[in-house]
Amino acid sequence: MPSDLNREPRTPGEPLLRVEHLVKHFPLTQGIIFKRTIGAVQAVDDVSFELRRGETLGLVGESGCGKTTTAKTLLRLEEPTSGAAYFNGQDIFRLSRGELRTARRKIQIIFQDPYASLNPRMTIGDIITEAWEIHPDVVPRAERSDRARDLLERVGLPGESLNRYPHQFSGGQRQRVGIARALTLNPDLIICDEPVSALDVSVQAQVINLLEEIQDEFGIAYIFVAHDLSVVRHISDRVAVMYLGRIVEIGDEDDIYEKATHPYTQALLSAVPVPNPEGREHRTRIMLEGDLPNPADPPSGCRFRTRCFKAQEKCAEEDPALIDRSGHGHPSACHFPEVLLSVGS
Amino acid sequence: MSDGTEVRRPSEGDTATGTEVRAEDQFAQQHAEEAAAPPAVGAGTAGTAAAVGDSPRQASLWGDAWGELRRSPLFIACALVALTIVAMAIAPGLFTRTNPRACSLTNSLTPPGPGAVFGYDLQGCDLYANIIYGARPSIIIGFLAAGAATLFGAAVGAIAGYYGGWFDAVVARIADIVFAVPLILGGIVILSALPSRGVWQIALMLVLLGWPQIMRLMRSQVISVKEADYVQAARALGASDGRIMARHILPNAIAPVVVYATIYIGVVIGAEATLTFLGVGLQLPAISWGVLLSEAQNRLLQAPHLLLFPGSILVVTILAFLTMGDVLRDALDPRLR
Repeated sequence: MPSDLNREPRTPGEPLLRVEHLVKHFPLTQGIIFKRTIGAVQAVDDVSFELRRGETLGLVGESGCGKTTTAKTLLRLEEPTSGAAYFNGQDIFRLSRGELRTARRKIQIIFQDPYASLNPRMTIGDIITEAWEIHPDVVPRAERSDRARDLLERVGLPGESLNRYPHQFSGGQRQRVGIARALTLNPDLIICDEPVSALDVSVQAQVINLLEEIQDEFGIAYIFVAHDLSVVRHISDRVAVMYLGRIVEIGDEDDIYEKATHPYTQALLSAVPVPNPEGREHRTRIMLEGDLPNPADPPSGCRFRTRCFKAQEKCAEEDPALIDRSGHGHPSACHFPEVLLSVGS
Repeated sequence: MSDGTEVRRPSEGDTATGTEVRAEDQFAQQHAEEAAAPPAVGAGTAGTAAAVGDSPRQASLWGDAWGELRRSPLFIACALVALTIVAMAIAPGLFTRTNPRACSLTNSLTPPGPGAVFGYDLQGCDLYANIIYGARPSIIIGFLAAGAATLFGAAVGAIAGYYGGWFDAVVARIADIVFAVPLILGGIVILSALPSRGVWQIALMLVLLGWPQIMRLMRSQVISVKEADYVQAARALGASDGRIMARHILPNAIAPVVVYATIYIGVVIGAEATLTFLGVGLQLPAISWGVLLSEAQNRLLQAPHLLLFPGSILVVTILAFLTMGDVLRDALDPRLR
């Protein structure tokens, strides 16, 4: 992408976002008035990563692995159980209500379901300008409708859409409205929560392209949540693979797609459909057995061991840290990391 | 993924302007091949742009519902009945020139005939005039009790649903207790304990016993709407709780409550008549449908018109409000269109 050319050289220093040991447990309670906690669903358990300005981090995993919860905690739509997230040097988990209001301008979200993410009772114009009613200093009142029109046109919708209601638009168009809404406050970071999963494949490409153009134009960083490795590859600079509330492997495109060392990443890669029948037969397909374990009662040691084809005794006893054990150049939470050449490419 | 069809970032030589179409093409094509369908790049934009262009009407839930209601003969009939009854309550003089209190015992229990279309009651009062003047307490109690129960129930339900926590738990338990009290039994117990019983006392009692229904309805609506993505989006924009409530949650949660409130007007009118009939509601010399019915009970065979006319108008009124609520519910449900 041209973004690779235009982007500022990556300078070491403070990243835009640094998430440290993020934990989100949903307590399981019993009782009607006096609630007793009888356990916790460990939706996100000790997740750490960094995001540089203008960078895209793909967050991949199957449903229930905690990727959406991670995204929502960063917006404080869910309150984290513990951990820290430094955004522009400020820990967003420790902000007061007033500070949070200001900080929220700089982090926005695009949702998965374009049919649920727009208020059916509001016109597109109301939806776009609401942000400026909440933060009146961003755009003066007189300019709001012009700015809203510009924004709509920027995301590829006719300016007259302002006076229409969401149900008059298709899924792809609604998603564009969602993108325009996310842009209203000139954010530094947009969290894209499976923004194309609900769209037709032809529209997916258009929306992804739009997101990339916007990134180049405004220098916005993305956290791109998805369950589809091929979509993520297209847009991400780096990819983090999550399993049962943990990041199991993180690295740049090459690390994940060509040199994956975690058996779970390898299994995911081997499940990506290959459109070309030639050579397809020679690919190793890793079939995972069983279902995702209960996140309220995760397996001892390595969380993936119950479904792992490499599992050994050590895996049940010792929880593998997310480190670069074997010098593959990127961290992987596996005791026995190794590159399988037959999967992926 | 070296087979060439996998999505790949276009090479670094691409310029910003030339890339979009190519990348789009490539990406869509790959997926289209997987789906064994022809590539459809651009079709989405073209088709949907046309869809936007030719629908100038600004539709909204209430606008569509009103359009639906206007074309429903059932709703129009019920609305006319309700409006007539309300007009009776506001200006009974428009419907009769006879004074309901100008009674002559010589006319006692005279059946319908010339000069008195509905006949005369035990005291020799004109029954038609009594029915017209009797609409006022029924309508006042109906609107007052249903209105107050709706406002109170909806406010409590919205707060309980939105914030949850201890307030929700306490309110839900209180509502359960009130639910356990049957409407009529509760009415008899409360009203018979009061030194005086008028329109206000009866209305208050019906509010006390009626708000939990509305509260539960509102609470469940708010809970289902507050998790919606557009509410989360508003929160992410930094919207205050008040704004989220007023702009996002209430407009999307209120419809079923309005429907129930309409039905509750009918229920309240019936309950008032029942309580009055049982002797714990309005008392003579007040004029109301319930009073007329309770007078009729001892002379049912002797003078059936005493039961027939007030009973019919009561039934028609209640039916009108219940049916309006039903039709409104259907009109507000887009899935039924």
